[in-house]
Amino acid sequence: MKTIKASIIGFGSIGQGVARVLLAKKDYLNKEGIDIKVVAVTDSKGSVINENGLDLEKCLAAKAEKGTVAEEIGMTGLDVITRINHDLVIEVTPTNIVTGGDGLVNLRAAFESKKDVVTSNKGPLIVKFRELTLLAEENGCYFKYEATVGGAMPIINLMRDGMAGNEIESVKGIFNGTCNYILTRMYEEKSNYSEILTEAVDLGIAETDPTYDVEGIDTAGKVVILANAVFGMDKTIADVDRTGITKITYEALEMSARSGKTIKLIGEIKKDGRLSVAPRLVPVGHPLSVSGTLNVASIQTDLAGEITVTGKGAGSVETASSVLSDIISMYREN
Amino acid sequence: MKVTMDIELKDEPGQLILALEPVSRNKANLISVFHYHKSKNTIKTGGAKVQVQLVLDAKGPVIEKIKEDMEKTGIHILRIGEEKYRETITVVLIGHVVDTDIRDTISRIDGTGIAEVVDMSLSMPEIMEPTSAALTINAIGKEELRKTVMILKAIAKEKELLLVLPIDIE
Ligand SMILES: NC(=O)c1ccc[n+]([C@@H]2O[C@H](COP(=O)([O-])OP(=O)(O)OC[C@H]3O[C@@H](n4cnc5c(N)ncnc54)[C@H](OP(=O)(O)O)[C@@H]3O)[C@@H](O)[C@H]2O)c1
Repeated sequence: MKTIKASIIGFGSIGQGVARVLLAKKDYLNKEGIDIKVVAVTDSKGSVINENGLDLEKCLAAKAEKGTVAEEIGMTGLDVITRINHDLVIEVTPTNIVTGGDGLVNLRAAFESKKDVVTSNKGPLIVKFRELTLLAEENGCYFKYEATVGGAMPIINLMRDGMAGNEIESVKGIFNGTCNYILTRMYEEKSNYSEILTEAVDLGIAETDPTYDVEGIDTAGKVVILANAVFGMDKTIADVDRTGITKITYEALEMSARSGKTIKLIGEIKKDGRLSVAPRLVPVGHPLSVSGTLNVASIQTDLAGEITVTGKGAGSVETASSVLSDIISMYREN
Repeated sequence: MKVTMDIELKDEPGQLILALEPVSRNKANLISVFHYHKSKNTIKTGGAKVQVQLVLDAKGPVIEKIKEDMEKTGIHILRIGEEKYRETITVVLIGHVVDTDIRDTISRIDGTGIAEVVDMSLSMPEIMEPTSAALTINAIGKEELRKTVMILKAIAKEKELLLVLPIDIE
């Protein structure tokens, strides 16, 4: 049995989801020869540390009761990474796509201190993909980030491992559940954009400031990650030709439906380097015409033809499942 | 009506001008001229002859007149046929579609001679609210369709309209 000491940096929806799946899958992990011992959990207030392994049930309970896990008030993620002896950093702090935010600082520090990283945080990957992958390589660290694109839906590892040997011509997909929800509901409810946006905010599906989602910025970030991680490009958000969904009308959806089509916000990566995010007409029944908050990706390859995956693009335990699969794939055979 | 005319000319200077003269005299719209340079497509004719394909846009009787005029000057017409549109797409435009002159939008596509707006539906919920329009466009072939999409993109940009393209467009 291999014991892996880990930290969970960020203890919101995903961080707590990770704690839950680690608890729920303890036996499964043990069967794979992996014993994950979480030695530190950090949120915005501070950290809780136990070098012999924390009781994750207690961490979840403390977060629920007091709103924080912090016992070491003010002890940051960076402090944990640089000062606490461990092997794996699970980085699940909020995304900042402009500077990379604390996530970028945390990832750099993790690799510099020779720690492996699994993350769901898009920010650092969008801003400094190449630097980070090089840094990980130089330090002999694993660096996995399946959860950054499509939440629970496997896509990065699928293309890299499952489809190895294929040349990938293009990837098209729906990578933002909020936009998909809004477009789906606008048609169902015969309502305009702003009415459904209000509903989505009330249900917690959209943020109070929805710009990041509805202007296609989030989708563009995922397009950049796929372009860099799978196609080996060196792109940033500025390279994406981007249009959001705010101008879509109910009438446009209704007219499209009359000719058997629906409108979806589609992110697209072409192997010649063209990246785009735009609303597109998708025939009903087409593999990409999934509804609600679902995500989907259609991968065009030279040998396998077209392969489509669909799944939940967000959610606590759902996204944590991608974090878990990254962890297992890192430590299983070695 | 759009027609393709395969004609045969003597392989000597001035022949093409001679052939095109009836086209302009009868005020037909000449869309393209294509020389078959002794390619495999050339129908065996023997002698120093070249084959040219013209694509014209004109009314039926005008085409007839052009044909007669050409034959009078000794030009051999090998084949004449109505051009078929082989590609079709439906796109959606959203914004001030009408205020930005929908007729201009359509005529800029029709004016290319390679594509034609064949159907349009408009939905204007209220004054001041954006209009949504669905346009169905036919184009002669894939390459022509690609060009038409480029024109649509330029129009949408210039008129600040949101253009929603089909998923399978290149
Ligand atoms: N939610 C999803 O379904 C989903 C899906 C895919 C990817 N992601 C990505 O996963 C990451 C986490 O998402 P989430 O939904 O869990 O966000 P969240 O619920 O807002 O949680 C963020 C957590 O990070 C903590 N935090 C904030 N700044 C920190 C810092 N500087 N150092 C340490 N901890 C810090 C917060 O502390 P407090 O608890 O004290 O506020 C909170 O616990 C984001 O990058 C997101 O884009 C999320």
